[in-house]
Amino acid sequence: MSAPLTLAQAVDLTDVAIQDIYLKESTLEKKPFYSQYYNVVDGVTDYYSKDSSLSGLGQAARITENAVVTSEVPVQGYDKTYTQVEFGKMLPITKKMWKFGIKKRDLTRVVKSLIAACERKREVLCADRLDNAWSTSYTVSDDSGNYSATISGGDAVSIISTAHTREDGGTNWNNQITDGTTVNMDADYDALKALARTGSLVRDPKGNLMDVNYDTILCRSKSAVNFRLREIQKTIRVPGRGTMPGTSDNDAAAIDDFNIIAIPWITTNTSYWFGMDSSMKGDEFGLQYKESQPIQMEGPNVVFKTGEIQYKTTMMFDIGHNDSRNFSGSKNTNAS
Amino acid sequence: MYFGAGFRLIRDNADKGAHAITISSQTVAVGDLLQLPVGATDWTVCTSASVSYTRKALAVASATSSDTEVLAIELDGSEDVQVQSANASAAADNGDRQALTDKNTVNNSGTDVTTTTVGFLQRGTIGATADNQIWGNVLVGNGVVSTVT
Repeated sequence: MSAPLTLAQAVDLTDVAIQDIYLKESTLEKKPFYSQYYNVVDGVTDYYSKDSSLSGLGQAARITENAVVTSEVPVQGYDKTYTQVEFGKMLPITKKMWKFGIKKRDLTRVVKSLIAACERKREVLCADRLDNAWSTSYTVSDDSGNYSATISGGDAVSIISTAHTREDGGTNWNNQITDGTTVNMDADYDALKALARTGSLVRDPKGNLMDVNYDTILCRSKSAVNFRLREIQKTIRVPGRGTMPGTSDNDAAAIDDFNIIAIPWITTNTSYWFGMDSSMKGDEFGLQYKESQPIQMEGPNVVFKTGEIQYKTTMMFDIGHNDSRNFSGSKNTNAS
Repeated sequence: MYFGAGFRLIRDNADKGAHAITISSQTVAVGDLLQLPVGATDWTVCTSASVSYTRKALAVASATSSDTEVLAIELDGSEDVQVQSANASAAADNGDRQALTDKNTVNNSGTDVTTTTVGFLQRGTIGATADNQIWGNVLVGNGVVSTVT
């Protein structure tokens, strides 16, 4: 399909004066991150998969003497459609390069890079949803040409928003971290208290408080946010009694212990950080990864006319969310 | 993704393969775009003056000025080709016909070029805008001088 790797593009492989040729490639993708914060559903057989929901009820009502009991019915939730998208990559190599360069140098494992390329794409696409969590669409940087991806949820707003429309028409709910005064708080002890507070105010489709418990924090790996969270985490884990981070007094920390998922694939908005209630990670809430075809490698295909060797990997999935009630986020800007 | 100068085939439904084309006094690098000027028998590397109606080929091997032929894939215009752009890539330029800057760069000036001194049709961007990478089709002709002015 594309121009194959030719002898001219890698002359070192056929240069007998060079004894050793090494493959150099990142192995970061070998440790999957996406499955730690996405609900992974495999075995999808439909091109479109769509989900919806039905709320529960509110609170019981007082019944006065001889009065008819008050009734209430659930409300329908929002729809979300997942459409399978195929991703792939091909590695074309000329017959001569394959014979005298790749095979001679024992570099045939280079074709496994195709699998790594798919793994990388998957991680990047999944992390992009956090990188663009305040947007309803973003431009995907793609080797086949950039394209726009819509990333809004069932309520048509971004993953993190101060105005998630409630299914019953009640007051919008918010999952942008705030202590009531400051929004998008920078990752510190007070922000973690604000995170808990934000979760405590999230309401279900009928307006009932859910008391979401954000027990996991996601951030860019080895960012200032990541380091500060690790400092706080270790402080509150002091044996016997965790002390309050960032102070010299001996008051105990008021926040619960938390896990950190440090994601190296967040590349643009590296100071964004998110709280996630891992107990709610499932089909109903949060980010979804719906896969109809795992990574598959095909080849070699030999082009009869030219002898070109082609290997290919493909995968098919869609990602997204319908209801982000188990997520909360901050841009780390400490705005008032 | 690819970075840097040069043209690169990213999709070619025909799997055409390469063959040797004749050159004279040309310095060619892998990824350079070549043209067959009207009435000529030797191919030359493209320049900012290259026109849309000549035959075009994409070098897959390098050559020095003493070489008389170079390995290249002849283009028919249907191939999707990635190329370095002179300016930051912009999705707003999709659909624009663009002149070449030289043999390995396209001049994405931001306006559709309506003269025949044009060599590329931008159809999309690749990567970050500062990567200066766009994709589209090389404008190829049969050698007949266009009457479009």
